[in-house]
Amino acid sequence: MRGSTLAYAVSMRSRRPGRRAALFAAALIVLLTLWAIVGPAASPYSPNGLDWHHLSAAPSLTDGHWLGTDPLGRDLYVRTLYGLRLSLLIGVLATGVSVLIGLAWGMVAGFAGGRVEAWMMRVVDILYSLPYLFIVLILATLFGRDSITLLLVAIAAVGWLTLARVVRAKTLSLKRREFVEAARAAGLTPAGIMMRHILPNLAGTVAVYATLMVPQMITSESFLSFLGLGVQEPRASLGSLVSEGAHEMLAAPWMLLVPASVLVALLLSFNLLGDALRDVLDPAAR
Amino acid sequence: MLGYAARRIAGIVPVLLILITVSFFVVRLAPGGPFDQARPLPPRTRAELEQLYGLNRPLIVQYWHYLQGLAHGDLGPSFKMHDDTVAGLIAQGLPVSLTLGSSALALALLIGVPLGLWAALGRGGALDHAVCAFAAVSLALPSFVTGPFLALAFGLWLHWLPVAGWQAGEPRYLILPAVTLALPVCASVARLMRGGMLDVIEASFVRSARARGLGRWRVLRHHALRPALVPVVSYLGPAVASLVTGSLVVETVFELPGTGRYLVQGALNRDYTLVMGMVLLYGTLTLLCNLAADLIHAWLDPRVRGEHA
Amino acid sequence: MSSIRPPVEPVALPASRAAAGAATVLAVEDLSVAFRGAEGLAPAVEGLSFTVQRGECLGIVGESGAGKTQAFLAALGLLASPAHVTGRVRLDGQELLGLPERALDRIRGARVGLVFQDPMASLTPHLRIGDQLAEPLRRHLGMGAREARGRALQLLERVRLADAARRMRQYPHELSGGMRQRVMIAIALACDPQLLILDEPTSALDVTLQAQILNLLAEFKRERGVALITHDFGVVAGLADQVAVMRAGRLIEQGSTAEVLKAPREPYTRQLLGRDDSRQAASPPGSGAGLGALLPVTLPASRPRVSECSPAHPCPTPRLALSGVGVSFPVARGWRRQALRALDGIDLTLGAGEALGVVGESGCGKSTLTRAALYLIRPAAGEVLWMGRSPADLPGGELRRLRRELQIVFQDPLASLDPHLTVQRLVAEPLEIHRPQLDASGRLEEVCGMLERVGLDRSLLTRRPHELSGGQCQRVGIARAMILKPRVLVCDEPLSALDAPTRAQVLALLAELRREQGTSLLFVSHDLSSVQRLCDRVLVLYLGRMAELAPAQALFAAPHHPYTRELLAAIAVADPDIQPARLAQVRLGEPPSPLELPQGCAFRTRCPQASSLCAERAPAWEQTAEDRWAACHHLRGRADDMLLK
Repeated sequence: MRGSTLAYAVSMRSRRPGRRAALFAAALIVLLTLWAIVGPAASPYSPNGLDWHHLSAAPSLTDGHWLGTDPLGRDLYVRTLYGLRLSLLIGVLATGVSVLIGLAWGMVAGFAGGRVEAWMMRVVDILYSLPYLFIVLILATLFGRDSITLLLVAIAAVGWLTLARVVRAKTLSLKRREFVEAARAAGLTPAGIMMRHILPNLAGTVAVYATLMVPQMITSESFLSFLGLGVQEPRASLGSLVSEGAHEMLAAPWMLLVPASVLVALLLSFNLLGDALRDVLDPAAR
Repeated sequence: MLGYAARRIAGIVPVLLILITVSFFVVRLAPGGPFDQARPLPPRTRAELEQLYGLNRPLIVQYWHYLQGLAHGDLGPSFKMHDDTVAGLIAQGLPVSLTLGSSALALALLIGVPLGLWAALGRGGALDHAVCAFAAVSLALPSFVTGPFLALAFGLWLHWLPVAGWQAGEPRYLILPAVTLALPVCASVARLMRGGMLDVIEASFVRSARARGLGRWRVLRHHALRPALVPVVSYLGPAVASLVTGSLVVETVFELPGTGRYLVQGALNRDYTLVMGMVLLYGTLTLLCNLAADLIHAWLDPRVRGEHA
Repeated sequence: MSSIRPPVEPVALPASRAAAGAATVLAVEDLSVAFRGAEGLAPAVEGLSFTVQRGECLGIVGESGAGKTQAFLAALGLLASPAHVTGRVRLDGQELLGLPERALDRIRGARVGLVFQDPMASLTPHLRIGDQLAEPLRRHLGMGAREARGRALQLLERVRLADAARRMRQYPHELSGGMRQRVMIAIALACDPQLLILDEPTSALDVTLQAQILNLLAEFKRERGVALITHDFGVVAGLADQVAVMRAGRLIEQGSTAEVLKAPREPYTRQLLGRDDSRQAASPPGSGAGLGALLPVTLPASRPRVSECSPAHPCPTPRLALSGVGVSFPVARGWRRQALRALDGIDLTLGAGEALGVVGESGCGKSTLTRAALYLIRPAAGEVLWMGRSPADLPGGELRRLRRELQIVFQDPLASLDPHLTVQRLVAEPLEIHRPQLDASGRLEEVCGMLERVGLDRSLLTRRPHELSGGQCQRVGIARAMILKPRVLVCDEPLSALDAPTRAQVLALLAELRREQGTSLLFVSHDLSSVQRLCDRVLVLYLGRMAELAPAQALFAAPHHPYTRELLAAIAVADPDIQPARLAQVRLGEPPSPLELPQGCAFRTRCPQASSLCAERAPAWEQTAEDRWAACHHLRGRADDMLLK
């Protein structure tokens, strides 16, 4: 074993250059979150207050509009942080809902097997046969305008599909593992086996997917808001800010650059963190 | 192989039927209807319109009529764009969307596959790190950010390419939208290609082929490449899905006359037949692409062919 | 012991070999391989020296991780990760180390042929057999496509692959394990190499297939040098002329096969051979005709005799009884669904304190039998009885409570332990389920007692399975199974994932626990020698059907069923005097697919005694002697009856 274990260790070392990047990403996520919460207090402006003296003002340190204003004179620094707040909130909440549905669905399907499983996975397959954002879009347009809760439901309603598939596959392979048979032979109830042996062994995989799902949810929300179907005025999310910025990009490029950079930094950090977690917790799925 | 393909194709029909049924009722369950406007129509006009489109009949009858129409290839009239049928609208927009989608896919594969291969072969080297960084950043860039940025940089500042618009047969108008659309797909392909190749290089049969003295390139091309492509191919079905949704944004950003706008408009206007037509179009497209991906997978790996789908 | 510097100089050549004037094909001198790890260089091979002569086979023996494979991969530039390689490796006088890749490519496959352990993983899955075989021919011998195909077909026929022309067009996954290994051998031999390197060529195969492949390899030994890497002295005894024993990257003993196997100098070699000194004295090698004399036997002092009961003294209720048990699995083949009958008509009883062995090739339903006996799989037919009660009739709670009386130890020690639990929680789990009234300190006490019992230190309590060795994991598995003092312990290949020395220790532990607690054992294994050591009676399974049931000693001394005879003949015995002759007698061909069983007797397609009667109907399960049953039309005595009619 010695030689091959070593070779494995060596290969793992070269495969994990992202360790530092992951720590950096985690730090950035914490920083952005804290900033979104306390940051607006540092500015004298409110997110919807109109400053008639500074319409479409460029970023400047002197007038207090550190990151400029939009054509209505609203402060971009404060609005971006409010947008970040909302995007983060929707992203995390939608992920939470999706993870709960996906975990329960996948685990029950995988553990029950037989006809129940076939039926449950058929549902997933059919939903899966349409582009994910396409369904979100239809649901959001039909039901979800004007209400953040409904928007959240629309986004979460489809987000769980991938996780349900992954959890089911993993549950199936765990179920076939001998330690589950050993637990059955020891006289543990099916519920006991799920709670004691299946769920804890799913935790790593779920953590990885949940981390990678947050940016996906944020993207979905921003995508809808960009198309004018998500968060409505006067509220702002990163997506709606990018959309406004795209319209003004010639006259006021900072309106595009500021929210876009915050959004990309956020997505990148979550992706990096998710990838690093995968390397550590779930090395088989690269 | 043929039997496998037949089984898979037969599996598509029921899925499509369920898709049609579910979306038919979901769309109609949504609050509001096609003729609810800010200024309400006179009751008589409204009744006449509803009579004309059969909206006053029981849902199940409407459903049956819709299915009958479909069987004859009739997607129905658009409720809001009064002079057009849904099929006619799709026929106008589809060529643009297809041109855009296929050029983006080609771009993504032509760049992504070699990048991934290179990175895997020079693993741990500078190029590998560069490719990984490129993929990580590209995956974090939504197309509604990349699109405006590219338009800003190459259209407004550098004046190299048109900012927006479309003229059939003019590739200049295609470049920025296609690049925007291709970027995340390209990144995923590069990443999967790299991962697939790294796994295969360590596989026992590759060592065994090298032990036969076949030479590095022969082993790579003949023994390692096909299995290493499997993850890329499995991704291609969902990739097309992301091209479809991405094209929604790209068509909005670059003001292209594709099919994407119909979806948003149709859903907002409760234009039932138009939404249904789009669901049908995208659903069929995705299913066919998934099928194609599975068939290619079966060609790449003979072990898949015998199994049940 | 590993600190003792091994002899670098090869042991003096025996006279016969020197006289033959054998030419040296491969000369390895002072070869060292070290991998670059986190803490500098980690050595895998140190100062290895040996030679391989033409027409001769050198067996390189050691446990996994001894550096056997790494040495050869390093010599041929095939190592997977960057390593520091020093020393000299000369093939026919040409130095291999330091050769550029291109030059090595002209040697690999052309002058050196390699056969790896796992034939499924070693063939490229998407290329047809014929193409893979033709590839080296075209590259190294410059043959055209047509010529290469013709030659490939000849090669497949030479390795005696049945139906060679059809196999050429098939993919690796369509062939069985034994066939794939024949293909690998054909590819290795394609360019008529001077040196053939066999890396555990039969470890992934059943004994019956192992014997066939070894037989085949013996034929190809004559014209070239062969290096055989293995952990199994039985394989060495049949094929090798010289033996080198490796441990932890170093050579510790070297000599002719006869010398090393009959009079090993190193204690480690003796350990690998599964002999400690007392046993070796008790079993003089090669003295008897039967197999019984070859394998060291240690039987429990007093064994319950099942046959002793009569109507006057009724047998106590068996702890485990199966009557007419059948299990089938649905299998999808294209459009159709088919039932694979994994078990059919199994009758057996397990008395108090008895040990029943179950043997057979892989795929014969041994594992399924253990699952059916424990009612983890619901049998499609027949009945299972635990202490006279049928689990099928018990309500769920009652069934789970009764499960404490029947526990199982699995084949893969790591997979059978939940990776996120500590040793303490793993061993305590059955207590938590069945003795919830026990408080934490009481549980800990029980767990510690049990760990001590199976020879594990308390310090391991907080470890997780992946931090333990294979042997330690298996001891944890046994501790977990035995902590409730079950009346029946089912063992599903508990030794096959372990190294030889660990295997002997775990076997001894099982025998001890059985003696102490009076546990009944259902012991499933493909390793006949461990069955012989541990069990009172043995059941031979063939493709899910019972072939023979007999007391262990009687079965090994005089098997009744022809399948049992062939199975016993295929066992590799670590005795160079008789093993080659035993190998030559193996006749068993490839087993049929379990989905296409032959009509009549399932064994008839491989049976040397098959007659037309065997094709007509399946033989009945009949008593052949006191305590012995078998299912065959041509049992001794029965055949005479047929003639008289």
